[in-house]
Amino acid sequence: MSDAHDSGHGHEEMGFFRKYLWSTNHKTIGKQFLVTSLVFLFVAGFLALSLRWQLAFPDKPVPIVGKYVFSSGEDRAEVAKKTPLKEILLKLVPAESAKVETAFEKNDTDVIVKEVLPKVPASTNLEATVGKDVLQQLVKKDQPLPDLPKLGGLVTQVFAKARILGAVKPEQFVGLTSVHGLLMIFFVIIPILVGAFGNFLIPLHVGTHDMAFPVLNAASYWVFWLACVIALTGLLIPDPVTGVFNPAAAGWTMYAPLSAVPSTGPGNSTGLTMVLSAAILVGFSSIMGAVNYLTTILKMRAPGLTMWRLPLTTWAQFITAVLQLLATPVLAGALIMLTADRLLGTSFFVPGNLNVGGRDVEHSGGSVIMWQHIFWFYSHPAVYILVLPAMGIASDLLAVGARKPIFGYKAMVFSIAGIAGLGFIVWAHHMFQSGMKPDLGTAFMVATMMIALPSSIKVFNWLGTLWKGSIRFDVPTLCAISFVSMFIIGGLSGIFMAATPVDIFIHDTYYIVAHFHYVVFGGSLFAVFGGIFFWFPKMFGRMMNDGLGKLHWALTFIFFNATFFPMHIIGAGGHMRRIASLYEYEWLKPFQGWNRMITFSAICLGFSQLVFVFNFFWSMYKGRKAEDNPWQSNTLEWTIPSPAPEHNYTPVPTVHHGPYEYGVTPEKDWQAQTESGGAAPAAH
Amino acid sequence: MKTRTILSWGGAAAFLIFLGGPAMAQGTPQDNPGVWMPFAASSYSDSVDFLYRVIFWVTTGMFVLTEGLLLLFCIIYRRRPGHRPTYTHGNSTAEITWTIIPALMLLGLAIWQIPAWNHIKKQFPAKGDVDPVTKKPVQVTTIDILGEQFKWNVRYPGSKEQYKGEHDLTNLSNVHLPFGNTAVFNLRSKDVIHSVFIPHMRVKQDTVPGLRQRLWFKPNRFFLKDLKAPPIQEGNYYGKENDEWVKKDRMVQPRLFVYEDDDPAAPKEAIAKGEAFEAKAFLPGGKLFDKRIAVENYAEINGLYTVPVINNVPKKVKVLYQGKVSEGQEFASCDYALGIFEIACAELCGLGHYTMRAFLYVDPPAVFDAWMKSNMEEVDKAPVVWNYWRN
Repeated sequence: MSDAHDSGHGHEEMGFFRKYLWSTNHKTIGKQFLVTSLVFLFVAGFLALSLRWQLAFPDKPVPIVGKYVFSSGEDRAEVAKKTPLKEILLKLVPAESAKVETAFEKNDTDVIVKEVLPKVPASTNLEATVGKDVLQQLVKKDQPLPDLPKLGGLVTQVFAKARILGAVKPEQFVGLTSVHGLLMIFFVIIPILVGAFGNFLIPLHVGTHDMAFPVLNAASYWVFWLACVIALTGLLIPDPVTGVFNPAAAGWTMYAPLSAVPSTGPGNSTGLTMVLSAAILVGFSSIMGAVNYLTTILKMRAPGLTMWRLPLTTWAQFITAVLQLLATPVLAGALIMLTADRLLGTSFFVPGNLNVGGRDVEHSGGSVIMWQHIFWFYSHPAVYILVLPAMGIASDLLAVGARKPIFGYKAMVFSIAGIAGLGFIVWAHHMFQSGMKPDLGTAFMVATMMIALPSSIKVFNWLGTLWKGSIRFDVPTLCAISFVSMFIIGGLSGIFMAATPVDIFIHDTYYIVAHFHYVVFGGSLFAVFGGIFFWFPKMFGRMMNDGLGKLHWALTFIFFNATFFPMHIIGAGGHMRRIASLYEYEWLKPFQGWNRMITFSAICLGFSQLVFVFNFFWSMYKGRKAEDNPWQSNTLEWTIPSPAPEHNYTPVPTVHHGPYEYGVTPEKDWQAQTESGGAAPAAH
Repeated sequence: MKTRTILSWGGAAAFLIFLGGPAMAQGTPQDNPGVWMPFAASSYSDSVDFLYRVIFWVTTGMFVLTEGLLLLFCIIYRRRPGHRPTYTHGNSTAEITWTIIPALMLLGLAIWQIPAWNHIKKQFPAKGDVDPVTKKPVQVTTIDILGEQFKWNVRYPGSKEQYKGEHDLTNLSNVHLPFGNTAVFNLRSKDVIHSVFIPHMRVKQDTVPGLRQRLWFKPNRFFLKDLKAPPIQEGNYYGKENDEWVKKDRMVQPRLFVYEDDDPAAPKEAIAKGEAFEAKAFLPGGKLFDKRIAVENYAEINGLYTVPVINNVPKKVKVLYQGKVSEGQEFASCDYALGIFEIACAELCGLGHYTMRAFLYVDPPAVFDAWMKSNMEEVDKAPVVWNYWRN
């Protein structure tokens, strides 16, 4: 059915299906990635808020959604026994009916067991007084009817269930943290940065009409969509053992044998398998996309557009595509091996002699540490996939905002390449405490220290871009500036972890959590917000509302810092990751106040994003109509109308210089790449 | 609203949150030396903390420099009429400078810390080693630890100093160590990856199934504090009905009181009679747990008087003990426990991951010997549960 001629001509009317769903147009595919990922942003954000609630108020029911998401049918059945229980007590001790009522309202076991029940004479025949049918509702069919002492125990049980109905159970907590991480990395940040921005911007920036392989491009989206469906199913499918919400629960890092042997925990069965399959599919989607991007950038540039005249956004996408191509197959291999261990009985990662919960595990011959090596060999470059496109976007937004060329363009390109290259030789810094030889740790430590270098070069270059500029504080510029400031904090905290003796203490604590949230949320996600705001006119033909944009930025900035900065403090105090409650440990108890502050800020942060959602959808229909180049930016996409026409450039543009010729003349402080002349040299 | 207004208010608010955060929190850890990490109680914890502090100040300097410049540039280079941006593509000298200087700093930091890493992870105590501080041969206590979902199993060598099954102390959940000895833990796991994390000793090592790991540390310090948890305020956590739940999990720790020999506030009569007593404030300067005293280098431990070095000054003190150890052991009124630390699991191991707590008791040697002896008889009767110890 797909017609190879379609993309070349473009004057035929395409039906809804071909135009909006199965479209091979890179812009539509980019928007598809964007919307899908934003949905997952909110799903994963909800998971994070639930786990934050549990941390701040352990075993308190989660408000509004708790009873629907975190309670099992069994729990609810237990709690339904409250009504017959109350009837029984009211009948037995009518004088204390007021006390009974208040006690049931407040779930106060003590009053019932200590004050009400003793008033019942010991010789009372419960069956005769209350009625057998009412008593029967308290116990299962085959159990004997309760007598008076047993009634007290039943009260305690029912009240305990009632108190925690709707609260996050410990096994669910682990699932929440794991799925939050998996979704955010594979279904939010990578698809937005690489899928949405890459797809939308690369052909526009290189001056061509579409990607090199449009059908492959569409396939890459639909494989991703399939992965999303499977991941959501894995999230919603109740755990076969407990029947409650309990998805993948082995951490986003899925360390073996916790992940490889399903019997190690509830939540390590179907949900985890589905999430694994979804991750494999996301990997395929990434690889397809990477092939497309590399080919397009290398082969389809407009005349005059040398590699050294590409905007940094495109350079970053280019190098990220190389990273994806080289690293993702390793992840696919690891995930396939893990799935084989779980479903086919292989023993890649399961050593012999394991005994889980009293039962011997049948596998043998595997290596636990091997999983970590293979997983981190991908996952460390993956975190650079998460941040490099954002760096490229932020660079461009800063140049536009400061009305100045980017400072040190070639150094910036080499830094991106340096980060990517060095990113392949530092993976074991996630494994310093795993038991590898100390000298190997030292080698990785040195490489990890050095990878801070290109990042710091970029930071100084961003500062240089702002230096002596004329900074226009639009929302994209604000986002780019906050990207730089948050990235500085995230990068500096990374130095602590690189130092192996300090890592002994802060590994697997909230210090690490603070670090990566600063770089991925404070860094990448702010760049995403800035990029969406910036390219919205090119995508939808209208401007996003400026006031709402600034409000969203300010709220997010404040609450983001209030949420994640204290995590450095509790992490340095030793607060471990992935623990459902810190009350088991004496030395951690004083940190509970911080946990509550973090949760409060996180909830405010979550609600602040609603401003963005409103702005996004409202502006699509009611925003101010945008002109061709609302930001006075130099890159090629601003030479065509907003929204971008279907085939982008008619005719193909000719490029005369790089994209950073801002502030050259006082009359017009920008110069599109297609304009010739001016004081700028042809290449820098 | 002008952008500048938003920025200034936003910046001020952010700054206030940083400052106001501590005020909103319930309080900082009681034994906090001031940079958020808990009290350091082992021989190499000082080097870890020192490295942390060095990195902290270096990165703080970088933070102030870069963020300060960022903020400054945002203010002085904002767009205003008559103000033109300076057209420049960069500056090679600047690039080279800010490549080389950070590179040297990072490399320097990297190379400088290698000895500390090697010391902690490679330099296990060997026969014939001499402790550089006390100048005596190093005494090693070797303990096997098996991680399991969800507890720690601890095994000591039996009276013959070899693992012989029936003569081993096994199936314990807590670790006792004699003060003055170096501990070597042999780590194993029977199901998933766990991690032995003893924060006060700056110890962390994953226990990996299929691998045998080792770690060592030497407790050389204890902190004198009231280890009872902070007082519950009514309705503090989440409602009165849950206060009981919170209370019952508190461990009631022995109280240790330290006072100088000639301190007039000391209850001399009660001490002379060996009676229990209640005391509010002993040390000059305030409540007991506000003062952290590092007691190092015990020269002589004889149960009553010691000559510990407190904050680099030798002091003659009496250490009294009041209360019960949570395991139900009672010491005579003039013995003392040197330190009770917690062992946590730091690697996600399943649903009970947050409950894998064990205690590390650092006892005076005499007390430790008595404990070992009394427990040995119990163990002789108890069977060995798994064959994992033999693997």
